[in-house]
Amino acid sequence: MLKPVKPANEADRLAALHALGVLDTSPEERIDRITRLARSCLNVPIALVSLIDENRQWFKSRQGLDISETPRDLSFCAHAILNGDLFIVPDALRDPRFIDNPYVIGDPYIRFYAGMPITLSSGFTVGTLCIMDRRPRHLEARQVSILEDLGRCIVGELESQSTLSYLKTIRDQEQQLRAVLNGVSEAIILVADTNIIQAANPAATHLFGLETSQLIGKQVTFLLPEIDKLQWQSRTRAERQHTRVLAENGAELDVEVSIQRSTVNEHSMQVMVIQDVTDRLKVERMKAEFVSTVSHELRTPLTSIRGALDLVLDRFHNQLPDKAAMMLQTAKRNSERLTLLINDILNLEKLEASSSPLDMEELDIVTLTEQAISANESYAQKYQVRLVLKDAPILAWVHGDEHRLFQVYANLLSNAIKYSPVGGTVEISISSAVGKVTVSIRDHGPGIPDSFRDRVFQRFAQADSSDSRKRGGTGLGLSIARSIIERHYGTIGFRPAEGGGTVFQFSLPVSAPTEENTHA
Amino acid sequence: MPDSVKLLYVDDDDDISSIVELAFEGDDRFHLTVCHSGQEALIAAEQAPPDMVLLDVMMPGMDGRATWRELRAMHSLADIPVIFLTAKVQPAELQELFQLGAADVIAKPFEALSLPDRLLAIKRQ
Repeated sequence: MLKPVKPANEADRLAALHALGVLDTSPEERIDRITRLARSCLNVPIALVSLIDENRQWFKSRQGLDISETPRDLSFCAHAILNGDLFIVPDALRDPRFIDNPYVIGDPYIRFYAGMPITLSSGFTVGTLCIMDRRPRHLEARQVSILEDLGRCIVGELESQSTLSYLKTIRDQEQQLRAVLNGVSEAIILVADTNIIQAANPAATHLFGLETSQLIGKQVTFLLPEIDKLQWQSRTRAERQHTRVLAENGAELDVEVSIQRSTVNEHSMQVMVIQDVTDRLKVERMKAEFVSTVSHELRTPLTSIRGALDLVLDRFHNQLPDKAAMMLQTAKRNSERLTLLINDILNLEKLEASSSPLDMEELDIVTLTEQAISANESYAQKYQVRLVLKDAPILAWVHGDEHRLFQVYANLLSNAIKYSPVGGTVEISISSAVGKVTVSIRDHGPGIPDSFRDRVFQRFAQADSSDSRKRGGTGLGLSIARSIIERHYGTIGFRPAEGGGTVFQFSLPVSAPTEENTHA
Repeated sequence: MPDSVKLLYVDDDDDISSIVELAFEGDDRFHLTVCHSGQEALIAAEQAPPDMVLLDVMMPGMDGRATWRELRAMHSLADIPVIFLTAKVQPAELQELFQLGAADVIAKPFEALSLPDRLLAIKRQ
């Protein structure tokens, strides 16, 4: 027996076969109808549609045969697909390729075989329409013609089936996408480079107060009059930006828009996702007003308390008994703490209000770090702690709010100083990696207890509830630092330092290449 | 004292105004006039035009802003510095006061003892 060789284009042929999507599917009447016709017209006991995959021939349709597949090496069809013409074996027992084939010398005792290759319109032959008989025979010209025509019918059926199946998949995907588009609460519109709206989802019709047919074809600037201020046509990143919507009923709405460039049918388009934030901003404004009012109500009596304590301690210091002076100092210290607390709460509220913008500019984080170290030197001296800049690149540019980032340094450095032993050092280092710069602040303090690690960045979180009194913090510093870093699209975290102490570090996206040369 | 700064201080809060009065007590660099409402301040300013005004923002009736608008409308007071005292320190609130022409804004709680020096520094500017 001679094993069939593989066609030269085997990999592409297999890809074409798999793309049909018919392997291992159920029998289908429209294919079976053709094999039945082949069996009866050509007067043979067996007629099959055989598809040749990597290791087997699998029968999509079979008449007169019980098995559904055979090994490829034993199949006649694997020989038949090697050229595009009808392949005929008049007597298998006289053909050296099949003389000892188990299907020839055993069940189903094949003696005659004729296989019409199934060659797709792409040119790849994926199998055959074949007939078999248990006795030697020949085909007349008329019979050859019938078998060839029926083989072409099989090609037509398989390819139309494949097209239908492809269309069904596309339809399914379209329905899924439509369900998503219909289900989202954000308005989504597709805008051509000519500023004309090409498509819109139901949320967009709701937002703008227009039917889909009225929206499509409209200039986007009629609905989003300030959209040009966002310079949206040059934007490639989907950042959320604030703007206004002019609805059909004349209402003006506050919205956030993210714009993503996309290509549809080789045309450049913008996908605009628009979220109505009118209610959210209203709540934020109410919250800001509430915080402002509460702040006023707290600050006014605090002014009297602090002022009175300052005056008594200054003007009548010599007349006060020691214990009374000590008590008044305690009251003064705590009134100062209350002032810090109110300031921190206000800061945090401001940071968390999305409407409160950051004053962004290009900053060299190395210079900023040096300035922050210098600004916190006197505080460190008070605790007899040294601040040391260990490693840093020459320059590292970030896009940030200088005042706010300075606040992050103040909060992290003051924490590190407060928790350092007397005579200790706080080491600051800056490192750059692809796309980001990381600032690390390492102390040699007692470290953060395991039980507290999950709550470090929570508001009013301190490992020991007496810490705020002992060390003078408000419990909001790290929470504020995290809010600031997150508003800069950065990350902040901490880890235990080798040899004791803690390393707090934050990373910010770089805005320009960093010079790698470092100075100690 | 002929060279002392005539300071008009307006605050409806009796506790805070007592403290401010005490902070200026004995400081001959200032001649302090304390008023407890905007109306009272307008009358006092007409009788004795001040060199500078220290004005609480939140007051019932005529608030600090309205008081300053009226004071500024008086010809003799058009160019004198006004310093606002406020417990509302959101950026928008501060910006509004500077737009009204504030020479400075002092946030509550403030250090009463250093107030005279601070005001003198502002006056010199």
